Amino acid sequence: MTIEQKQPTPEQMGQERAEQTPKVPETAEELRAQVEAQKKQNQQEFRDILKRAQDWSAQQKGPEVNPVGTQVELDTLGQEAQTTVQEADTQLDQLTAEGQDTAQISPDQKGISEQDVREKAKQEIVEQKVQEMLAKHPDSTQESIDATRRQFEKIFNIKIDDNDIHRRYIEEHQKFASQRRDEKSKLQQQLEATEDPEKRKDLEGTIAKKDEDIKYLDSVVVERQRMIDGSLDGKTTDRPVSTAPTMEQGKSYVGTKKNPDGSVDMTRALESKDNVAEKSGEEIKFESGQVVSLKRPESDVLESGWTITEIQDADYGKYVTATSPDGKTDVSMPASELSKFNQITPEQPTASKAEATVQKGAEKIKPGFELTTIKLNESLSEWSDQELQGKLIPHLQNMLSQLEKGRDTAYSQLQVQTRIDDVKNDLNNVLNYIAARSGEVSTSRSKQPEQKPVSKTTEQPLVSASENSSEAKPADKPSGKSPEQAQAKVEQRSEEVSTPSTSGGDNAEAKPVEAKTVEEAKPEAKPADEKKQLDKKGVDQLIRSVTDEIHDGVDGARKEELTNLLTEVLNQSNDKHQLFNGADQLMLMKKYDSAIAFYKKAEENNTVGGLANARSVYELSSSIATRLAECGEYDGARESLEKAQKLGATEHNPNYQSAVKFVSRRSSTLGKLFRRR
Amino acid sequence: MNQKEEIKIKSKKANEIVATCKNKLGTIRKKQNIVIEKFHQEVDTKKMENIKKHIEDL
Repeated sequence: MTIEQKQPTPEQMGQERAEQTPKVPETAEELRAQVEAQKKQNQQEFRDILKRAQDWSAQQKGPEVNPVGTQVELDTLGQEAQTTVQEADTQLDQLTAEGQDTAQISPDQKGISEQDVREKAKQEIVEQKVQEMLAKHPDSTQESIDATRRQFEKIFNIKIDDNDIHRRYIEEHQKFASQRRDEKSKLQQQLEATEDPEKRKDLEGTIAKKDEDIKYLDSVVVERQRMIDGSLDGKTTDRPVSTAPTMEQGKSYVGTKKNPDGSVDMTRALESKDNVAEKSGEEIKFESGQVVSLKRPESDVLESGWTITEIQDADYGKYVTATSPDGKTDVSMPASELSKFNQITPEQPTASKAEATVQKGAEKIKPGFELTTIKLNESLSEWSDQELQGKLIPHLQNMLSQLEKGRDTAYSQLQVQTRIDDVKNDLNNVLNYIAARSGEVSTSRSKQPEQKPVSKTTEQPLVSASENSSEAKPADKPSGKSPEQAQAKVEQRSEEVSTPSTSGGDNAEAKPVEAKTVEEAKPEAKPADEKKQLDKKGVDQLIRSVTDEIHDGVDGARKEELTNLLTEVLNQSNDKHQLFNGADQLMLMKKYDSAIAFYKKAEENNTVGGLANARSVYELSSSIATRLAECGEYDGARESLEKAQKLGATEHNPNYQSAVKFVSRRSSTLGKLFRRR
Repeated sequence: MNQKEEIKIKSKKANEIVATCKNKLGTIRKKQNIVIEKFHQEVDTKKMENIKKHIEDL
């Protein structure tokens, strides 16, 4: 996170104000833009207030007057300002949210897609994180806030709990249902007041349609609730019985689900059978056990990872039944419909698919060569330098590029990531081998590849993710570099190989985790160098460095190194803010157990006394509760919320309120407990 | 009420919310000035007392 110590100049501020000259909005979009601009202005004023208090705090060194009383007063004012801004933000959000509902729900809309719900949830979480960051660094520039927001968006892309999504999905669909009921009631009033038979007929038709919509929306709510209940009880939901084919002849369905009571929900006829046949073209042959992508009727997004469990021949074509990735839902559809989606968007690469492609490619470039089990000592010696540099390396780079492209959308990201690590490892080994063979390194080092068996956990990955993505080229366009350039790269790597390595993590310079040129690999202040400075300032600085580094992207060995470093430092700290911030970083690195431990330690040290008044304590407790819930540590979250309550936190405190809201989404038991109170 | 009118009303409401927030923040800022000013005055008084004491001691 880069926090720049910049304040806008008076000219800039004047310009900003001039740009924000009120213009009466005419559309919902303009209203939202206006509100966003106003929220930013409020935030800026709040930050100015905090900055002033911080500046004062930093200047107080003289012992003439005890500054504690003043500090407490300024802290209280700062909190008052924060509450004021948050309250205004909430009111403004409500205003635009209401506007959004009426603007977005068109009479024909049947709900919103799960993708949209996820996106909304992500935005909400990201915004919460950004606000917390702003409270900690009130002098952040708009640029750094935007950069932070983007980083958080990246991080939270895949980190939302399924039950959270189900609850939001329910809320959204309940809103739709409620609107349809209102519309129906108005239509019924009109019907009662109308005598014209033509009009009455129209109105009756529309009311029937509303009824159908309400029935569908209610069934979606019931279905989702069942999914939540099943997962909370630790049981799977009653798996609906597959009853394919169940559709009426002449109609085509994009997905049906039979409930145990026989009703069909989540079902929508998209188009007539004839249209489907026309559009789908040639039917793809499906096999039981095959993994396919599906599209829900209310969504435009393909969901991967569905497994075909049954194929049946119906009167008018083949029917395929597929089971959802979580095994809870069955859908049936004509094979032609399934073909349509799977023709347009092939299944994203999975580890086994990628492996097969790699093997195929490897066979092509050198028959009999098994890439997935490279045995450098035996196999690579059979390759000429030209073959290695012109064929094998570009091929591996191409593989990496393909895998990385597919990683975010693949069903099993972990599996693909493992494969990426393996290919990176292979690439490193090949590069090391070339470097050693080219004789550019000392005799003892040139034996390194032979001495080092191929392992899936290379300690010194010389190829970073960023390097792979920027340099990976398709195999048929080999690397785009001349052989001389490629050789130069190899030589450069050979110099890196010759860098003395140490087993400890203290010498960051001697352990080039990320590939760098010799010039780039100049000494820089790594967090590891600062480990010894365990005074408050040193630890704060270290946490900031780690934060920056995580946001720049770390993986593999570096992640472990940072985790160990942070753990070591936080073990020795009793500063609640340091512990909280450090735990945040551990959470970002997905070290949830360590993060939980330090959030709890922060909570232990979060007591009233000194500069900390009850309000500042319960503010932090509320934030800790949110984090613990995010890590799945509900007991800890409950304890923190209880502590906040005892100290006087009420629903009027935005931070506490948002913590209760967040925790409730994660755990319905806690939700009931605190909302009732 | 059509959508345009509704948005106009909401915009007006948003302006009111922001104006209230600004007023509150303005008050907080004034209080902050007073607190800091008070502190500086106390420091000055203390300094003066020290100087006086020092002169008296001399």
